[in-house]
Parts: sequence; C-alpha cells; structure tokens
Amino acid sequence: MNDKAQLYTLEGLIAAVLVTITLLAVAQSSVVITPQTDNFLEVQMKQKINDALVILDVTPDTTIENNLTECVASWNTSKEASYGKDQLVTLDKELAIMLPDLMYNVEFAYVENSSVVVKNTVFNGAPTENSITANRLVTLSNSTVNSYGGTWVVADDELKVVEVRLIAWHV
Amino acid sequence: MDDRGQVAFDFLLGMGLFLVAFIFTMQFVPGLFISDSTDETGIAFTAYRTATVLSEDPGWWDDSTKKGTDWEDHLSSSTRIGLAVDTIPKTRLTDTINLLSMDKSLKFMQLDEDTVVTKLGLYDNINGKHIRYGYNISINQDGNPILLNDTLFVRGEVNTDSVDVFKIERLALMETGTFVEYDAHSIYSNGTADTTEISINGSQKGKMVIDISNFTTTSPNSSFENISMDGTLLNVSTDYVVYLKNSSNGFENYSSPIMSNNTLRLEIYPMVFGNSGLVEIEFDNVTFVAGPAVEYTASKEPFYELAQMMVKVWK
Repeated sequence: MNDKAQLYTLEGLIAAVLVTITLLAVAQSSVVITPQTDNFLEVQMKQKINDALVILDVTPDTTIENNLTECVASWNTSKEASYGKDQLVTLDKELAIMLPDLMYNVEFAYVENSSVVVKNTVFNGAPTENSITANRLVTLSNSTVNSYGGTWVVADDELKVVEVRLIAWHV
Repeated sequence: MDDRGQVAFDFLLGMGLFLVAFIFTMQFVPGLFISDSTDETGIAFTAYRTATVLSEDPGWWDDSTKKGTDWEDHLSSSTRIGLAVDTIPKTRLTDTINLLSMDKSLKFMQLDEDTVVTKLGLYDNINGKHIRYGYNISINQDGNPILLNDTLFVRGEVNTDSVDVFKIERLALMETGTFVEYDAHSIYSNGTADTTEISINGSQKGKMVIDISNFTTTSPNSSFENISMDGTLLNVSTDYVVYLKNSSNGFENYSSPIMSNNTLRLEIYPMVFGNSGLVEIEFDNVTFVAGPAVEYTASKEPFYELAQMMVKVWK
C-alpha cells in the first residue's frame, strides 16, 4: 500500500493553519481603516469651513470688522479674481485667520439677466480632487451696496441674493 | 510506480476542506474580522454630536410647569447642556449658532462630572451598564485654553496613552467680556485735560473692552500713557492690552502716535476690577472737555472673540 499521500495532506493542513493564523493576526492587530474614518475627516473639514462662513455672517463688527454681507457688497462685479490678481482682499484676510491650514477659493454665484453667473472672488489655486465646498446665501439691498462701495446693480425695491461658495482643500 | 502526481491533489483536498470550514466559520460568526472599527465609529459620532450640541444649541430645562433654554439658571431641572447664546430663552427658535455665551460656559465648567457625562451622552451603553468614554473639551485661542472671567475653559482628562482619539474642531465666537464704544468728545476730563475717567458700577463678567475714537489731538506726537484703577497704576500686558486702528488693516498692537481719526481699544482683564471702580485713562497731547466720569455699565454690549472648540473622545 502506498500511504505517502497521508503525509502530504497533513502538510497541506498545517500550511493552511499557518496562513489562517497570519491572516487573523493581521486582521486583529492593525486598526482596519474603514471608509467611515475617512469620511470623518471630510466631515470635520466641511464642518470647519461651514463654521467659518457662519461666523463671518453673524459676527458683530467689534470682533471681525467686515461681515460676509459687507464683504460681498463691496465687490466690483466687473472683476474676476485670478491667481494673485483682483482678489477680494478683506474676505481673503478674514478667512486666512480662521482657516490657517487650508487652501481655499471663494466664488459668488448669482442670477443676472435670468442666467446664473459664477465668478471667482478669491482664488488661491486650482482645487484638488478631494476639495469640499460650503455655501451660504447673502442678501444685498441697494443701500448696503452703496455704503460698501460695490458695483452691484440692485433697484431700490429689490433684493439680490448671492450664493457664497467656499471651496477648501488640504495642501 | 510514479505517485508524485498525488502531492498536489492531496494538498488541494486538505486546503479545500479547511477553507470550506474556515469560510463557513467566518460567515457564521459575525464581526470576527471587523476588529474594533465599528466601536470607533461610535466614538466618532459621539465626538461630533457633543461638539455640535455644545456650539449650536442653547440647552434646555423643563420642570413640568415651566421650561426654556436658560438652563444655567435652572441647573436642577436642566435636560440638555448647550453653550449657544439665546436672547429669548422661552422659545426654541434659536438661530445664533456658533456664538457662545459666557454665563453658560462658566456654569458648564462648574457642573459635576456625572452631569456632564450623562447630559452629553459621553458613555457607551453595554447591556444596561454605562461605560464612560474619556473626553476632553476645551475652547482655545492660539492653541491655549481661553480665560473666561478667571476660569480656564478646559474640561475632562488629558489623554496620556496613545489610544485612538477622535477629535473634532469647531470655530466659534466666544463671549469674553463686555464692550463699549466712546466718542472722545462724550467722555470728560477730571480736571487734568489729558486724563479721562470712566466709572464702573455693579459687577462685571469677563474683560472690559473700551473703544475710543474721534480724539482731539494737540500735537502730531499724541500718545496713550497709562490706566489706573481707583488710583493704582495698572500694568500693561498683565492687567490690560492696548490696540490701535490707524488704517484699513483693523486693530494692531498699539504704537504711538494717535491721530484724531484713529480708534484706540483698551482690553482690561477681569482680575483687575472688583464690583465697581473708577478707571482713569491718561494720554499725552490729547485733550478732553472737563466733566463728570461716564458710566461704563450704561451702554455695554457683549464682546466676542474668535476661538476654536476642541472635543476629544476616546475609550
């Protein structure tokens, strides 16, 4: 009788056990980084940029001199920001204080002649693929535009709604 | 006889049998290979929820006859802790998220450990048993806990071992004191033309921030000199700080001279003044009209500062 094969079966089993033990050890010891953890970082960043916009919107003048509405009202609508040029400086400065470790762009989106116009107002570079956007609506009236020196065309009995989009990413 | 061919076949059989058994076990016992990750997500949610409730909610109390958001005045019947400012405590219609109240924050610092853990849900419920999470909640400015009145805003433990800590950061405006803006023509000198007086009546919470603008300067070298409280000279930087706004840049650390269109900001720290007192502010080459001391309490409003709320939670 040829019983050599038995031994090979045992070896096969031992090998399988070894493989399994290794697998188990790896699975148990290292923290499995689930997609949730990744999502959590994204949530944190989204929360932070959202906070920045909310704070700019509700801030009293004594803390931050120009709030979001005032910054938007002071913008010259004929300009469009590009790298290092035609930036909305006050808004950029205030955001830089609140988001020191992030890169960001700001866009204004509004309706003009029944079409949506989107313009860069703070531009620090092209966003990366995993950038995150927060937005907030600002309402402008003729008197706010006049007192902050912007060029928005708003009739006396009209209000203009501008969506402020803050696009941020990690460097 | 050549029986070498059997090797691979036997191995296959052994491995195959084992793998069937193994895969069956893996399917049958749930969570065998999931490690700790599910629980960690739970902690992440706890951290997120805690930070959100604290910064966006004014809290709530309810004693079956009355209720409101001013839980800081009704500690025994408080049901939820939140730090957001609420000017109308009777309603739930609060929209002042990210503005944090000093009164609520100071009360939060004084709460006992059990209340904080239960009300904020900083525990895991395992078969009816509460297992506490480690936590650390702080409100920071430049990386250090902020000083409210005379309390540092930081609660919880310091995490020493390097277990997985979930942290979430929120930006907020923290109420750190009171603010009054004066026109230099509506505050008066005490007889010496370059010294003006402001009287404080009643207790103050937090720092005292005074903005003065529209100066009457008598030379291009006009300057701020010092502040005294009830006759005692205060120490710059430990008792108070001075800022000056002389351009569109906003407030910067004070440096002379003061021009008539500049705004001077004095931030006097809370340890300096008691319940009342007389603040004397001395200038050089600046004149004030003679008159009585202006009262500080009459026109004050809350003063907010930008701060970061950091919530860390771990097992």
